[in-house]
Amino acid sequence: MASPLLLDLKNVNKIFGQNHVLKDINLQIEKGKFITFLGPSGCGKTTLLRSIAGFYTIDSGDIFIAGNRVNELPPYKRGTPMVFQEYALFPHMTVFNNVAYGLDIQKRPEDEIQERVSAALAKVKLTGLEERYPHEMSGGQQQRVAMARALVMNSPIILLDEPLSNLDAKLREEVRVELRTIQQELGLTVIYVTHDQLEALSMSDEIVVFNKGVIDQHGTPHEIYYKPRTQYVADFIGTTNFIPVEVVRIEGSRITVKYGKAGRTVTVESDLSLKIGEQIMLSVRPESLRINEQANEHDFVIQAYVSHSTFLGEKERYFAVDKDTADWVPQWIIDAYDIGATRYRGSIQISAAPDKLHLINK
Amino acid sequence: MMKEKKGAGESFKRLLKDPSSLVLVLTSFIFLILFVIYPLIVIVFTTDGSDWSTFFTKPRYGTALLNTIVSSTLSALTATVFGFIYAYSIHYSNIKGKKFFRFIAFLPLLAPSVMSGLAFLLLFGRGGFISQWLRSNFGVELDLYGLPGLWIVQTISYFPLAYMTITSVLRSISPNLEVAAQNLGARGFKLFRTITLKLALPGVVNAFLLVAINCFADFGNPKLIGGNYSLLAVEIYGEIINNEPGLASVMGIILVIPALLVFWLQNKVLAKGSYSTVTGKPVAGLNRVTTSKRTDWLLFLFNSLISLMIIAMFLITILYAFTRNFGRDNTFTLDHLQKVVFSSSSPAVMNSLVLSLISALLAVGLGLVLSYIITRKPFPGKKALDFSAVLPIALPGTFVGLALIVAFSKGPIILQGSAILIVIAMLLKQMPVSYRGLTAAFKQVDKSIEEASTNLGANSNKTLGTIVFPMLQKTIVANFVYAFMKNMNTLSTIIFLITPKWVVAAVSIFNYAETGTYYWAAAVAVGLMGATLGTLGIIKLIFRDKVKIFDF
Amino acid sequence: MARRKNNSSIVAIAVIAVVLIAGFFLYKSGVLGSKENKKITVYSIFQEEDARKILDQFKAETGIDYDILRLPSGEAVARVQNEAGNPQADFLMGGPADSHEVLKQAGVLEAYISQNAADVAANHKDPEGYWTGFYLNPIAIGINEERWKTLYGDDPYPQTFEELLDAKFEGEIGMSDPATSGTAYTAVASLAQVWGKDKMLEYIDQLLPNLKERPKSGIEPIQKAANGEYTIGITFLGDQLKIKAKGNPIVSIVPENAGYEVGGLSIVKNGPNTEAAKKLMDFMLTDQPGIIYTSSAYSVSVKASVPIPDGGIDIKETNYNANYDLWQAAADRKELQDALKDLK
Repeated sequence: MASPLLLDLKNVNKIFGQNHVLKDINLQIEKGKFITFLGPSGCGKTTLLRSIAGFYTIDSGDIFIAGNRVNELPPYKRGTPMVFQEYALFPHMTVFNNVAYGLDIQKRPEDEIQERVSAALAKVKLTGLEERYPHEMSGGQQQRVAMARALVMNSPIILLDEPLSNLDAKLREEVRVELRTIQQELGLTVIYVTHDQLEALSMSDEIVVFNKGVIDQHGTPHEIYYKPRTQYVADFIGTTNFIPVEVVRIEGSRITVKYGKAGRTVTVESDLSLKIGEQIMLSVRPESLRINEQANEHDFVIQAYVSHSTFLGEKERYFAVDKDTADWVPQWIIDAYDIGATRYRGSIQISAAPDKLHLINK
Repeated sequence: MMKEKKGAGESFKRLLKDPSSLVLVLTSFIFLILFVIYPLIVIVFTTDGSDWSTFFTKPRYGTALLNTIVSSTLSALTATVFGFIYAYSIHYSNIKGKKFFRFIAFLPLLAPSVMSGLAFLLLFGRGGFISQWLRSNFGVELDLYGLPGLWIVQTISYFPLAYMTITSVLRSISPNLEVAAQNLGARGFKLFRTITLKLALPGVVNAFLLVAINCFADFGNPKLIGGNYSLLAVEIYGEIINNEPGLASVMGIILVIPALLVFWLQNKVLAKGSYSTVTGKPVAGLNRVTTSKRTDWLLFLFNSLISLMIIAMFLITILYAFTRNFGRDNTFTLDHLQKVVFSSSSPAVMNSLVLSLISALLAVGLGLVLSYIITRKPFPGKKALDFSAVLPIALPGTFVGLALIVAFSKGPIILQGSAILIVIAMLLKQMPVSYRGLTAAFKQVDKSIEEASTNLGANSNKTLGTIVFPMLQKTIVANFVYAFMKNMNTLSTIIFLITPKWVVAAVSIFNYAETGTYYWAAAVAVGLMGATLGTLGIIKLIFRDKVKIFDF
Repeated sequence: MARRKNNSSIVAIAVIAVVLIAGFFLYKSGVLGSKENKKITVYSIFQEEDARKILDQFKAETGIDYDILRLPSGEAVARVQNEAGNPQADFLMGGPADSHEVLKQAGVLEAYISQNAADVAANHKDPEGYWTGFYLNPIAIGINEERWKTLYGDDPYPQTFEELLDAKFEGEIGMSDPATSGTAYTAVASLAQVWGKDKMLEYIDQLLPNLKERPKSGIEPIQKAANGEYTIGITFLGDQLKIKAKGNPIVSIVPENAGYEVGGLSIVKNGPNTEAAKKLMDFMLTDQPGIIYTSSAYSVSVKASVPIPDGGIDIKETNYNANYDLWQAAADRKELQDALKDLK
């Protein structure tokens, strides 16, 4: 039994002048999920968010919120409270009045407002600061006020537009965790826009990856990370190594591919539908590669030269040149963790177990 | 290939879905069409061929036009130069008493420009205080009527305007630039000429143009002091009185053309931008002073002379207001004030106060609505609306008054004889200023704040009232104060619209001055200034820190 | 925790202000306040000081308050005509009779024969009651004695209009604009009646260079002459005597062929408070206003019962144009004024 859809976007298009920013977007989002829109600037994620909120009118397609078609509704009727990137707190109002604003508009009774605002402020740990003005608070505190202001509306869906980008790293991590906690406690549906893949991976139930106005992939963080559908997705999230391969045998979901000059093969689990002889890409994450370790015949193996390496604290990142191509451009990135003082130089063998490999269509 | 949904039809549809905005947009359109476009059209159509040929054939009118151009240019020149020197001394020199000098520059704003004319007569008219003194002690015959007197009076009247315009430009020049230039060896006059003057130039030109437009439209002073030196604004008045709206309209149109030219020039100059604030904040503690001791001394002298003239102006007016018949009978009396300021049969000052307040409120209100919808709401015809809203700035006050009386004394809507026209005339002159000021303030309000408001359920009106309006409070009050002060002092704009029930103080002063009842003119002037000061005081008390009045 | 509404004080004040202002507005428009004591609106061609003296007396006796707008006679005539569709004023106080005639012809006056007008001579009032005379005033040449001494020493004062053409007077004469001022028009109309139109135009053309200025208001020339701004002011005699009484060194001469004005009063048709206007007319024709006015204006009342004021001049003892026909002057007004405009 599927949970009811909270957000249903069908063939949504948005054009600005000559710029076709959103191209035939189709997206279904279930109630109670934390969804992240991920992508670089200009990919359309913010445009889509703002279209859901009603700040843009879409040029074609439909937007359904909780089963209602909202295309024609102006922003103040959509019921999609948003946390803005710059917080957009009302400078002439106290924290209390800022948070209470939406409820004031609805003309709620005074004691109800009192109760709900206090609760919202408690949730974001700002109790006691009701009479302060925005300019008297730190960035982190302002951000929480913005959150409280959205939360207090008791709306099933909340939109967040890169709300943490103005905070420093430590604070960001803290708030991330809190945000996720609140969402789960209250069972809210949250749409979160960010270009930070770490945020996306750590907070979301599902990630929607945008690529120039099109959704390249919509899946769980695990799926996005380990089973990227396109090179773009693979490359955007974390770092990936790609090597072109050729399909030589198909047995159901087990695909055998050939790579390198020597024509070594490896068999990988994949749900792509392929044909013999097709040229596709094999992707493997840097942390999945081993250096100079014992490899068996099922493994993926490459001979390489170390070009240089970078010490990154928890790991040493090696850049190596494929001996087969040997054009001295290091295409291989290998992350070696916890190897003590060992430093690899010169010729190395790079290997990976088949379950660490992933096939992607070109 | 998909096309974006936009264009007039689309934005109109969107507007229909937002009824509160729709109301605002429609109201704005109706108001501007009715009171800006309609009168302009009527003016053009009131003229006919014979009126035009009359204007161009009778030499009297051509002379008036020439005189207007000459006197305005001269006055604007001197006012600008004086304003510049004064402003320069305040911002760039080490002279003492800067607070005092700033206060002096503010004083003339309290009184209508015609008061300068009055004071001039009281001092330098052939029977004036100083002329008499010169005559009896030195046998010198002073005749300053016509161009010389007008030049002097307009210079003093509009010097504060030039000063304020230039001062804001000078203030915004980053001292870093001058310090850098000094660092590279420039000093004294060379520094002034190559850096300071060049950077201030757009502001100086702007000041010149502003004063010029004001002089063009000046009615009171030419009428009082012009003597036989005829000027266009005065001729227009004469023709209206003679029931020749056609001829008056012709002259009105002729009057507008240089004003429009100036307006266009002004926009070009402003568009070039002020290149005075390109880089960063001034470094703390850097001294901007660039003048030598000798220059300081000269500047101080200059400022003192100007201050002396302005103080003399006010002093003589006060003397006439509080003595029986200054010069002949110097006994102190409150009789004049009682007769013409505090009597129910002479409600001129009260009238001014009420009408100015109402009109200023409306000006700011309308300016707020216009700036809100034009900055934030998409709808067809926006450019036209913006143009009509700003147009009255370019129109001389005399012309605005003329257009209103011609358009609304006949035809489908008759408003002649009611206070409404007076309020509208003042509104038309001040609303564009408020509109511009508020638009600038608006642009500084982050769009996301308004979005947050609508996002939380507030429609346009609610957003306007609960978010925008409070955030703009300082600007709104400042604009209200400015509009109020200008309304109290306006003469040329409303001279055609006066009815016996609604005689306004500025007109009263003018009438009494014209008929030689100087003590009553002075009394009303004192009453007017008192009312203005009193109101400003009350506003300061209410708003305290939120408004900048009396900050010297 | 309690919430502050920080805009409440400002809102409260704004509301109070709006209520006060609206109240004032309504009061002015006459909505509030009893109809009985509604104000009377007066266009006065009299000097405002004089008009106010009379109206204050009227107010003291009847309780009727007034609004007054002082205008030069040309403007007043134009205004009343322009406002025919929606008259703003009730009463026109002062101004030469020919101006009132013009208005009568234009149909904008209300006829009212006050019982107090019975003793006003027939040629000093309109037979149908559209206007009533109030004072008489001949045109006079007013000379600043001191200035004359300085400039012309012992030269004799001019006794005729022609003598004013003398080149020595260049820039020393002030006369209001006959194209718009009732005062100067009276002078030229009288000359036109005696000399004929063409000679009069010729005369004025020659006179213009001697004029220092042509103020729009009738009394200004003598005020300025008194102030020493020029030597001669051409105005009505009453104005000159008034200025003299203030201590100014003025000598007045009523020249040959001087026209005179009958200063008149009339009621504007369909004004806002015609009833009060009639009361005012009755009042004006009692002796008291006549005394008040002539004492300060130094003119002669039309009513024999009002004595000639101290310092005044009896018109009958001068060479003025006793046959001056003000009705003729009214009829000729447009033609003559247009011709005069062409001279500029």
